[in-house]
Amino acid sequence: MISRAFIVRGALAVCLIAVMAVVGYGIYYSNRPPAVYQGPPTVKLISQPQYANTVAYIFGDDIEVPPQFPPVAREDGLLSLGYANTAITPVVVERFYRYGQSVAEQVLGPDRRSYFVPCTPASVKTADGECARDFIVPIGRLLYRRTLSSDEVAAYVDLANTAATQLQDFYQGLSYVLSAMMASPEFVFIWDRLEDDPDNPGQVRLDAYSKASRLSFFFWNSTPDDQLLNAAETGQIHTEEGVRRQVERLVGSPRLKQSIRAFFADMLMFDHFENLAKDSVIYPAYGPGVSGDAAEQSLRTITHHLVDNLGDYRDLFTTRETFLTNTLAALYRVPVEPSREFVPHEFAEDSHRDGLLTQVAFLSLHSHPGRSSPTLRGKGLRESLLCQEVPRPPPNVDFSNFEDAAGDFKTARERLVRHSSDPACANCHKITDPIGLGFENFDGAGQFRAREGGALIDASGELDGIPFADASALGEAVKQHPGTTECVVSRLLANAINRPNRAEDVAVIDDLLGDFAQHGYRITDLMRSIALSEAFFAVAEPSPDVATVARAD
Amino acid sequence: MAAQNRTEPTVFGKAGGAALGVFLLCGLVPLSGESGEVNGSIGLVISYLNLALYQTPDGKEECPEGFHHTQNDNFMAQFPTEEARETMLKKYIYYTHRGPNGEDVFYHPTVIQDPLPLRDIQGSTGLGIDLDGRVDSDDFNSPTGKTGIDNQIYRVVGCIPGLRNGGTIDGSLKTEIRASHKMRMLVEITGIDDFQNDDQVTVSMYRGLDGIEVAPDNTLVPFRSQRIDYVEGQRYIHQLSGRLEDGVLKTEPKDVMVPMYGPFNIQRDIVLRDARFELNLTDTGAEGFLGGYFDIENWYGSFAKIWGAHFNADVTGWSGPATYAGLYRFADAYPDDEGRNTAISGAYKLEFVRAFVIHDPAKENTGRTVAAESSHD
Repeated sequence: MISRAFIVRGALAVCLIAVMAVVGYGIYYSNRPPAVYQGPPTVKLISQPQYANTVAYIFGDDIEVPPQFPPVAREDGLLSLGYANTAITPVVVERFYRYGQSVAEQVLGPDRRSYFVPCTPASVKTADGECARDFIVPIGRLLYRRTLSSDEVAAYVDLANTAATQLQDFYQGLSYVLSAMMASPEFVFIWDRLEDDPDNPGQVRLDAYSKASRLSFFFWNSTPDDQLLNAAETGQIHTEEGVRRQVERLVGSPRLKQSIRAFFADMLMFDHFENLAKDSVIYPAYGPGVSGDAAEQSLRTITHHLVDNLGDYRDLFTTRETFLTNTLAALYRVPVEPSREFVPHEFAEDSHRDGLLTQVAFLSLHSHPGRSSPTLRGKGLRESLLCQEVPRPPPNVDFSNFEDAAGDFKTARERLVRHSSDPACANCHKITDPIGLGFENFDGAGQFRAREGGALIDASGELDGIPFADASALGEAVKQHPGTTECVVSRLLANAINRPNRAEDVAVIDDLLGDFAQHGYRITDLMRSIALSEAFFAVAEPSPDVATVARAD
Repeated sequence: MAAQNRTEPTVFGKAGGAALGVFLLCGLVPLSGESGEVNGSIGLVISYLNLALYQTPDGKEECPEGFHHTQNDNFMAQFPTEEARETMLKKYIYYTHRGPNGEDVFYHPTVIQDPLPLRDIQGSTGLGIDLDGRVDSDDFNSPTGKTGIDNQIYRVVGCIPGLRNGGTIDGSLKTEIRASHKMRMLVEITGIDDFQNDDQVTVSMYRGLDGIEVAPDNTLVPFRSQRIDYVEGQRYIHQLSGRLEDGVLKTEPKDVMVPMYGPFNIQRDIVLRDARFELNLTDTGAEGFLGGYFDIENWYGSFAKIWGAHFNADVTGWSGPATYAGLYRFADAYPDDEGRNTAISGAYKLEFVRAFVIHDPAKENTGRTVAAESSHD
């Protein structure tokens, strides 16, 4: 009964919030010209990695969490923006309740409860309000990313007491409370809360806890820790020095990798691996574990280069340093020290493996199940890494021209001549195929091949005027392409402030690009610049129209 | 710019460097991109091994009289009445204990003669290698026209159904090869200047330590890395000299030990005298033969130990005394002081997929090898 009532209340609240988030997105006003564009406050659904990181931080990484959450729509190239612009249904709310139940059962089970409950109840079979409070207050602070109000604490203690009495089990009572907290909108959504800005009368700013969350999720992709919450409580986070101190601490933490991994997995569309299938007859070496290993290889390459080595972002497209498992090494046909774990590996100079784009993850993700696809690869590169939009094919496209099995085509380049000779196809394919053909030395599983259909592969092409001879040279061209750095700056900014770029952001992006270049294109410095920029915390009050609509619902 | 900010070696400067050192020391620095050939070497890991048996689908060409008489056939013949069989079983419990004093005839194959004759291979078609460079009257010709093939063990065991394609022993060997590293034979060909024709290459045999991966089409995924079992696998380490002729590896004879395991982890290694490879190399593996002379006592001991138990004998379809006698009847090498041959020619049919053999210089040359101990070179 307790849980059902809670779920209903929670569902209603969440639906209201979701409506506010959707409607309020992008519709707001400001009563004076801002120095930077002030986005709307967002109410962002927690993502699976954020949920997992939060649970791991509060309760330990041995607590199992669901591996997948319901999908959201990618927006402006990022799923993270979709999380800030999604509505959820009561069914999803109930799902969050079950996730929370699972976590609560593990945390408050006989094996672990003594680590998390800082007191011993008078009796395990009866309610103990004082002991319940000792558990609820610190855990609630971390889950809700703010100090709980006295009314909230009292309500949860009451809930714990009622449940413990009915179930004759103190820890079951706590488990009920923890499940409820983890299904609450306060936990499931990451809120931007506004308050009057004392420095700018008549305007608003993010409140201190919202700033703490924004910082923490940007740098760690997780809930604020005790020090961040303290900085919020004391108001230090409203000072430039206070923010700077926290930024330095956050950027220097090993937890930074969590955020870097999540951002690049999102930017590179690795969520598509969940639905990726390869034809096992054509690619027998691409077994069930390869997709996961391939994504992990690229993410390790990225975090190692950008965080461990503090490397130049652009060098990601030429680096030969990576990490391999024995399974992946078989696809690359290189020897490694066999191990269940990833081991460091540096590809040979003539290996044809230069940079992220020549790794199995990119090559296999942007291919068909049984063959490579210059079109998909060109599209993937333009959209993921250059932030360019490639139009969708027209609904009446005739694929038979391209798929002509009777055609005497040996290579993809020969087949794709169809695209360039058919005016209906040529306009779009001319922006994808000349780049994608650069990857034709790799089959649909990402394995190297010198020939296709017995003919030597010509992997030459050009990227926006930069000619290249093969995929290695294409990596160099991507490295030199101005869109490469501009794309990561704009995506990272959007990820930080939870909204897509707007025309008004051009000046901010230009400034950040200048900083990025000045700091040797180090991603950690870029993140620091973003967090310390005026744009990072810039929000404005939603328009009264939006508030009216939200209230009416 | 980023490099200037590095204050300590990267992981590639530590572990990666060490790993690279391993390859450098062993001459295994990758030469060309993803050919699978490193610095003039080719690594192979076993994917199939069984005796080289020429087989027609129904066996009527090579076994016109039928397959081997089984243990049960011989038991019934030896004790033709119900009463005789009951008496024997009451006394000795197991029907394999057909010896005059209840001896297990698989472990004591000379205590009786099987009442039923050995059904040996008829015909002249066989698989394997010409071991002696001669074309003798009892040699086989291969289906592709090679002559002088020495494979007398085929005459003895070629009509045992368990050894034939899809038989119990054939299936067990496939299982053992995949299930663990116990029979994970590695072959590494080094010193290759020309992958088609090279008059001097070195062939090393090892046992691997690492798992294999089976593809959805039930083949082994090539190009995985395999460490060498330097400890338990020391006795399987051998070095042979060889050559490449039109992409076929041929090695000079040398005694080797082949790991042999059966169900229930029963192990009896095989000593193959004057062993030599003849392997067709492909882009992703190799197939061919490891020929030589089986020491009869060693081979029979291994076969009987693994496949001679009372519950295996009839499943695999053979009988100990007739087979043992047959091995000596067709033995063709290594005569003892009395002129009786003690070894029999034969070959294993082998299939490999490409692999990378990972050496550990710290563990190389730390132990004796069987080859060194028992070389007949």
